[in-house]
Amino acid sequence: MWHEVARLDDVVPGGTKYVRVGEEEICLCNYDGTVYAVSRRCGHQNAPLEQGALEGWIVTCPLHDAQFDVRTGKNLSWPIDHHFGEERLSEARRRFERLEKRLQWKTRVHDLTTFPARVNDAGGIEVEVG
Amino acid sequence: MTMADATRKDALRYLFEKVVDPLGFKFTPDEELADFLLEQEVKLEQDHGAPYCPCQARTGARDDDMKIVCPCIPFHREHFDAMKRCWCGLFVHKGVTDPDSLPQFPPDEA
Repeated sequence: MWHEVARLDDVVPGGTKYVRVGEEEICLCNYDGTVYAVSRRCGHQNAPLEQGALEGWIVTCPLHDAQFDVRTGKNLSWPIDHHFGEERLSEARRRFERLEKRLQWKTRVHDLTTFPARVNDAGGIEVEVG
Repeated sequence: MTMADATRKDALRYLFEKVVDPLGFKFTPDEELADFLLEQEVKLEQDHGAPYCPCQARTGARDDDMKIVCPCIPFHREHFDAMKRCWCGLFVHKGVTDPDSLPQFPPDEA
């Protein structure tokens, strides 16, 4: 079933927007005038992708920089570890960072779900869900 | 090379082009070389977390290693401008049509 979820004016080229259809959280992505709809939650740790960066067809998660192809939902790269440089951290914090780093590399990154999207004659963005 | 590797290679090509273009560089016209180098970078990213230059050695010191993450042109600008290419030859100055004619020399000779 198709649902009108936003206006084309709401998502400028290079922009993203979070919309919700029932229980489904969706991230709209405008790649050079074409709107793609993918699941909102990053396939790594569920961060909201509309708060990341869209460069062409590649969306980068704001949490650990995992990248996805918004046309297919495919995961393109693994997450990147935090780096604190010369910053002084407590020993407890360092232990936590080491643990997180080990777990990051063992965490599976899932592809995003894609949803068919189209723009109707009135300039409304429609997404097919369910 | 798996389908996922090929997809990542396409993504790197797309992202890198946006970085090097304003710096006056382009991908080498030698497509075979460009493909080979990008493929190595995909493997390096999978193994070591970043698409390091395939032709420069990592030291293990993060601050140094970050300076050879592709495209590393901003960290070696004077050297690469003198050669009209980056160290591995993935990128060349925009006016270059014959990349094989470009000399490769160490930084202290730039």
